[in-house]
Amino acid sequence: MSFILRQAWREMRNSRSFCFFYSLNLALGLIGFVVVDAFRESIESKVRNESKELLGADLAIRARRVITEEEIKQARNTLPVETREAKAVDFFSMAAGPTGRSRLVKVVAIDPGFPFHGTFKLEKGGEKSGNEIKLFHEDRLAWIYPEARAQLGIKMGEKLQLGEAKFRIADLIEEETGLTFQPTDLAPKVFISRKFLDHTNLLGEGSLAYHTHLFQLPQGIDTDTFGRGLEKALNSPEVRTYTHRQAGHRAGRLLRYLSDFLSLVSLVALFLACLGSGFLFHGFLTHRMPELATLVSLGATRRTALRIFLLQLFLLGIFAALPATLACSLLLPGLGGMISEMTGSKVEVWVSSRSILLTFAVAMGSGWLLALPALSKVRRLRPAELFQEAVRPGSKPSRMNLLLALPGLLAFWGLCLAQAHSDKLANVFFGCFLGSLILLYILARFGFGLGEKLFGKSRLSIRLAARSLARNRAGALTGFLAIGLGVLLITLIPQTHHGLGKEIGLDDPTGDLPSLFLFDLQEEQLNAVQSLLEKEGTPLANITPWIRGKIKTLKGMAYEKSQRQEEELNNPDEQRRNAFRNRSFNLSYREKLLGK
Amino acid sequence: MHPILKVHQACKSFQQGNHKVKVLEGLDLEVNKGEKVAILGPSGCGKSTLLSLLAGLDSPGSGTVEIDGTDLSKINEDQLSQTRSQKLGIVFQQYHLMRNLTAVENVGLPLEIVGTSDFAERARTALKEVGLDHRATHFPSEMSGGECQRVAIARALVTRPSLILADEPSGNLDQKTGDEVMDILFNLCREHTISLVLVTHNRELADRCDRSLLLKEGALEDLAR
Repeated sequence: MSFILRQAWREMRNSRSFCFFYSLNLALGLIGFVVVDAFRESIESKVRNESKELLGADLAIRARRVITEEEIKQARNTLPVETREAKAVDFFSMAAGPTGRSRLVKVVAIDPGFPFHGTFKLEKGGEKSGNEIKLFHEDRLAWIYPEARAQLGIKMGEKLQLGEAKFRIADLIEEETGLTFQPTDLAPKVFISRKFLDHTNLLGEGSLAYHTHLFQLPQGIDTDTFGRGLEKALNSPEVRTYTHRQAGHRAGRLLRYLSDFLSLVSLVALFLACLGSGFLFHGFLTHRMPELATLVSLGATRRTALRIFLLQLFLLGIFAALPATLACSLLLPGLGGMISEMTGSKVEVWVSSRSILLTFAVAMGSGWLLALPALSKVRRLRPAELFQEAVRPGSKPSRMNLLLALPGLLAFWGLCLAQAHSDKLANVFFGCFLGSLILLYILARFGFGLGEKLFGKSRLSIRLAARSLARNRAGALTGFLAIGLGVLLITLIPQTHHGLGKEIGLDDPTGDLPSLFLFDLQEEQLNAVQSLLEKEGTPLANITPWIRGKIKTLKGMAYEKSQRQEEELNNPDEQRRNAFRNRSFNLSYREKLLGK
Repeated sequence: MHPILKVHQACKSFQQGNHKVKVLEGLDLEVNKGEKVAILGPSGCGKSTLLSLLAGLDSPGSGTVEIDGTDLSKINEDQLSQTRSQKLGIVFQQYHLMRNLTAVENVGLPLEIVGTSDFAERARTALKEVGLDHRATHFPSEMSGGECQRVAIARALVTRPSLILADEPSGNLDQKTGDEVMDILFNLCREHTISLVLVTHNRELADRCDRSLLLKEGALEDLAR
C-alpha cells in the first residue's frame, strides 16, 4: 500500500466523527439527487420501451375532424401492403349513470384489433390484447375506469347513458394502453366499440372529436421512414402523423419537464449539502495544518500532502455515494406506486447504472471542487512556523482564495445545464441562485461588521456573539449562506403556490373571474343551451365567441412547421418553439373576460 | 572532508509595516561530521529563523546554506524534500507529533515518506533506542511530555541523518525529564556519529556541546568556555 493511501486511511480512521458527518451530509444531498435522477431515467426508459404500447400502434394519423377516405387512401399508398389498420374516435362527453347522476367522461370508441400493441387489463376479464376482445364489439358494452364508476354511482352490469344510447358496464379497467398523446386526461375514459358510436348520436356536424387511424406495420419495418413518407403524402396541417416514438415523447413530455425542474431543486439541496461538507472539511484541514507542516518538515512535499487530502475526499465521496445509492436502490422500487399515483402514469422507478455512476462522480468531484479554497492552504503552508513557539503553523493569507470557489460554481452551472435539459431554464435558475448567493454574501459580510459595531456596548453575551460572527468570517458566512439558501428553497414552493393562486384568482373568490367554463359550444347549439340553463335558474353570464386559428404566414413569409421531428429536439426550448409553430390558437374579439 | 553544514553569508529580513527588519546579516556557520554545536541567544534574536533556513523550510534573502555539500538554494522543491528526509532530522520544542498516529507510526513516518519497505521494523528499533518500545502502540495523547519528546528524537534519528536540528528539546520539560531526554539525544548522536545543532537558552546544556555560539545582531559569535 502506498504511503499516500496508508496515511489517508490512518487519518480517516482517527477522525471518525469528521468522516461520519462529512459523508452523512453529502449522502443526504446525494439521496435527493439520485431519487430525481432515477425518476427521470425511469420515465425516459418507460417512454423508450413502451412507446408502441403508448400509441397502441406503429404509426397513426390523427385529426380533429373525420379523416376522409381520400386521405386514408393516400396513407395506404405509402405503407406496405400487409399493414393492419384500425380506427378510433375519442371525445369528451357527459355520461349518466342509473341514478341520473352525470359526469364528464372521455369516450373512446375503438375498432376490433385495437390496440395492436399493448393490452387492456380488466378487473374481471384479466389481460386482453386487441385480438382477444372480439365479444366486446358484438354488443353495446362499455369498459370504464373505477373513477367513473364512483363518480356516476354505477355498478357492473348496469347501464351507462351516452347520448341516446345505453351501454352495459361489462368490466372495469385497471390499466390500458394506446392513444396516449398526453400524460394526463381531464376525465376518466369509457371504452365502447366504434360499431355502436352512431347509436349515441353524440357526434354531429362541428362536434369536437379526435379521429385516429392506426397502422400496424409488418415486422422489421422502419417506422420512422414510413412515418416521414406518410406525413409527406398527406401534407395537411389538419391531419398529424405520429410514429410510436413521437407519441411516447409527447406523453412523457410533462413528466420530463417536472423531473427537470425537480432535478434543479435537488441540485440546490445537493449544493447545500456540499457547502456543509466543504465547511466541515475546511475546519478539519485548518485543524490539521500543524501536522501538515510537520509532514513537510519530515521530508514530504506539499504535493504529497495535497494528494493525501485529495485521496481522503475521494474515499469520503465513495462513503457518501455508497449508502445514498444503496438506500435509493432498496427504497425506490417500493416508492414506484406512490410516484405512479402522483404522476398518473405507471412508472417503475429504479436506480440505473448511469445514475449510480453520475452519483459517484458528483460525490467525488464535488468534494474536490468545494475543497479547493481549503486545499489551496496546503500550497501556501508555512512549515517554518513550526519553530515559532507561540505560533500555530498555518498558511499565508490570500485574497485570491475566493476565486477558487469559481470552479465549484462553474461545475454546478454545468450540472444545472445537464439536469434541466434546457439552457434557458438552467441559466435562469443558476442566475437566480447565484444572485441569491451574492446577495446573501454581501448582506452577511456587511451585516456582521455592522452588528459588531451596533452591539459593541450591549450585554456581554450579545457583544461576544456579534464579535465572534464578525471575526470568524469563514464559519459565519458559510453558515449564513447555507441557512439563507435553505430558507429560500423552503419558501420557494409556498411562494410559487401563492403566486399562481393570485394569478388565477384563487385568493379572490368574489372577484370577476368566472368559476365555471362551458366550452366548445357551436353557434347553432347556443340558443338551446341558453334557454335550458335559464330554465334551470343558472343563466349563462359570459358568452365569448372563439375562433380557432393557426399562423400560416408571418410578415408575408410562410410560417412552416419545423422539418425536424419533435423527438429529435432534445432541448425543451427547441421543443417549445417547435410546438408553438404547430399550435392552434383560440381567438376572440373580446379584450377581456366580462363580469360575472 | 567537507563540513556537514555550511552557511555562508546568510541574510534574512522581514517586512514589518513600512520598514524592513534585518534578522540575519552575513551569518557564517560550519558544522563538521559528528560535531555538536549549541546556539544561544535571547528571545527574538533570530534563532527560529536560522533553524528554518538550516532545515530548508525557508530560504535566505542572500547567501547560501549547504547540507552535506548540497546547496539548498540550487535544488527544486522535490530535491529539497528528499534532502530533508535523508540528511536531516528535526526535534521541535513542542514535539509536533502526529496526534492521529501511534508512537511507532510517528517514528516510522520519515521512512514511509521515502518509501522504505521495512519501516515498521526500523521504527520499533528506534523506539527501543529511546527506551519506549513498550509504548509503541500508544497515541501522543496517551503519553507524557518526556515520552513524546523521546518519540520525536526517535523519529529524527530513524533515517540515520547526517545532521540533527534540535530546537529547545527540553524547553517544555521539567529538569529531570529534560536531562533524561538530552542524555538520550547526545548519546545517540555520538553513537551514530550524527552532527547536532542545538538551539537552547540553557547554558549548562550548551556546555555539553563541542562548541557554543551566540546569535547576536544577526551573526554568530563564539562563546569562550
